[in-house]
Amino acid sequence: MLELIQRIVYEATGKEGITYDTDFVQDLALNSFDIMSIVSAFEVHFDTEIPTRDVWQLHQVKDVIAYMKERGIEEP
Amino acid sequence: MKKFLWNEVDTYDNFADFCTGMNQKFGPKPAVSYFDRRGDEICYTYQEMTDQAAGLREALIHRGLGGRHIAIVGENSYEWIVAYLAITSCGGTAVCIDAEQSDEAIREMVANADSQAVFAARTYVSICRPLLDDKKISFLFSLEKEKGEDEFSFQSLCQEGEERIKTKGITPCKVGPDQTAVIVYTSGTTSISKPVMLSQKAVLHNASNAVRFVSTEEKVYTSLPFYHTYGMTSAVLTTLVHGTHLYINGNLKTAMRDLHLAQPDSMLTVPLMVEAIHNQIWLNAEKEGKAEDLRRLFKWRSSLKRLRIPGKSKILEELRRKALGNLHIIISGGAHLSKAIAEEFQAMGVLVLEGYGITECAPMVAVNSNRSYNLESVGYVLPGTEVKIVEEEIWVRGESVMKGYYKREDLTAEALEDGWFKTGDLGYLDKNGFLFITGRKKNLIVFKNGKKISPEKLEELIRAIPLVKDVVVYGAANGTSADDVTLAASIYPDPARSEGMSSYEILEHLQGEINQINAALPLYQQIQLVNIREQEFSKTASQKIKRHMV
Repeated sequence: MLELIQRIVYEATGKEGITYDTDFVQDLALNSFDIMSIVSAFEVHFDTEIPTRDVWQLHQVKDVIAYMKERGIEEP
Repeated sequence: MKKFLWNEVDTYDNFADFCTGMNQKFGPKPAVSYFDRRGDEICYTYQEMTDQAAGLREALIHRGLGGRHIAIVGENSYEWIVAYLAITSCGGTAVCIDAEQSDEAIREMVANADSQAVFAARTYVSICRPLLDDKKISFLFSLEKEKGEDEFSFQSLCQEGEERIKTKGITPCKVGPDQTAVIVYTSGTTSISKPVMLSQKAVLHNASNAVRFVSTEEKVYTSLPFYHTYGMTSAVLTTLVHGTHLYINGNLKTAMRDLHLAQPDSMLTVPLMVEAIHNQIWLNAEKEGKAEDLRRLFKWRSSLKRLRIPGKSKILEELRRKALGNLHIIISGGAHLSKAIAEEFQAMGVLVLEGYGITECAPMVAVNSNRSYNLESVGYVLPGTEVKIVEEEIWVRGESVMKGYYKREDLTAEALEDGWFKTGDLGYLDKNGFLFITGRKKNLIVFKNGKKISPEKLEELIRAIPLVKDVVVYGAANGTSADDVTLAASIYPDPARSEGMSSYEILEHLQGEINQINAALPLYQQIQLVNIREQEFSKTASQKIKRHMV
C-alpha cells in the first residue's frame, strides 16, 4: 500500500520519499488542490468515493492506510 | 482612464426580472452543465433552469417562505443555483453558508442569520437536522435531484410548484431593488464570520458591470465555491446575464478533469488553480526531459516581447492546446497571482486578467479588460463604483456596496463612513485609472486560493495550551508572491511550565497539541509550521504584540 501511495503522490505532485509518518500538509507542504488530486487518483484506482469532509481527517500517510482498511478497500 | 469600448449587457434591478429576462432572451440555449462521476455531461437550458426556479419559488411561497431567510448548505451544484434563484426571485434572502466549516459553525451561521428553512446537499442534511429538531428552522429541504420519498426533496418541490403554476398560475410577489437578496459570510475570520447583507440591485448590477469590462466567449468554466460572492456573482451570474454556457464543478478532486472535459474558452478561478496548472505543465515537461528547452523558449519569447516584436510560437501554442485545450482567458481573483506566471500563460496564448473584490462590495470592485489591461494591476474600477484612497487605504462607494452586517450595527458603523466602505486593503490608482494593491491594513493572512484568515482566533486556541505563554500566528513567506504563504505559529513557551524540558521536548509536546487543534479545523486553517521563541514578543504600551516584529 505504501508503494502505491508513493507512486500516486509522485504522479500528482512530483514529491518523493514519503513514509508512514509523512504529514501531507506539514512535511510535503501540499495545498488543498494537491491533496484533492491525490484523493482523486485513489478514487480512480480503488473505484470508490471518498467524501470531501472525510479527506480533511487524513493528515498522514498512515491515516490514509487506516481509512482504507476500515472500509475494507484493498488493492484490486 | 484609458478609453475602451464596453460590452453591451442587460442590467436587472431584481431577481424576479432577471429570471424572466433569462427565460425570454436565452430560453433554448444551454445554461449550466456539469459532469457526473463517470464524466458524462448533464446540461440544462435557460428554459429548464428558469422553469425549475419558478416551480421551486412557488413551492416556497406555498409554505409561507416567500420573502424569508433561507440558507443553502452544500458544495457547488446545479440545484444550488436553482435554489438561490428561487429564494431571491420571491423577495427572500439566500443565506450562503461556507460548506467547509465545522458542523457546529455551519449550524451557528444558519441560526445567526435567522434562517427559517435550509436547503442542504446530501452530506449536510444530518449536520442541519439538529436545527430542525431544536425548532430553530421550520423546514429542511434536500438539494438532491432524485425524487425523494418525502415532499422535501428538491425534485419533488420543483414538480409540485410547476403543477401549481399550471393550475393556478404564478403567485405575484413584489421584489424591490433594495431588499436584501443575500447574506454572505465574509471569509475573513475563523471565529463567527461577519454576515454581509447585499441588496438585489447590488448583486445584479455588480454582475452586469463586470461583463461590461470582460468579454468571455461561448463556454465559461468555474470551480469557485458559490457560497462566496466571487463564485456566485462574478462567475455564475455574470455568465448567466450574458447568456453564456456555464460549466460548473463542485469538487476540487475533479476540477482538473472537468476543465479538460468542458473545453471552455474562459475560466474564473483563484491563483491556486492557475499555479496548479502551471506546475503540472512544468512537471510534465520535466518528466519528458523537455524542461530546459521550454525554459529557453519562454526566455526567448519574453525578449521578443520586450522588443515589441509580435508573433506566436507554434510549440507554445501546442503546449497550451495539450494542457488547456481551447482556454484563452483566465480571470483570477481572491489573492495575488505572480506576474511571472501570468506572462508564461500569455506566451502560450492565454490572457490572465486579474480583478479585485471584497464580499462587502458584492464583490467586484475592479477588473482588467480584455481590451485594456496591466498584468501588475487589478484593473479598472467598475462602472457604478467609486474608489478613493484615504491614507493609502482603498475606500469604495456605489451601488454594489453592502447594506451592512446583519444584526451587527456596531460593526457596520465601523466599516462604513458616509456610504464609503473601508476595505482595509492598501493601494493606489495610477494616472490611467488602473488600481494597484500594495498591502493590507488588517491582520489578514491571505492564501493563494483566496481564503482569508484573521490570526486572532487561532491564537486564542493555541494560547489555551498550558505550555504556551504567548503566540503569534502569521503567514510565513513561502515563495516569491505575496500570498504564497504557509500558516505558521511562533510560540513563546511558559518559562515556569517548560523548566527542565529540552527545546526538542517542548516542540514535540506543542506539535502534539497543535495536531489536535488542527484536526478540528478545515485544511486551510491548519497550522503547518511551529517555531519556538526564546524571548518574549516585543509589545506596545497597551501590551499588544508588535506583529510586524515577528
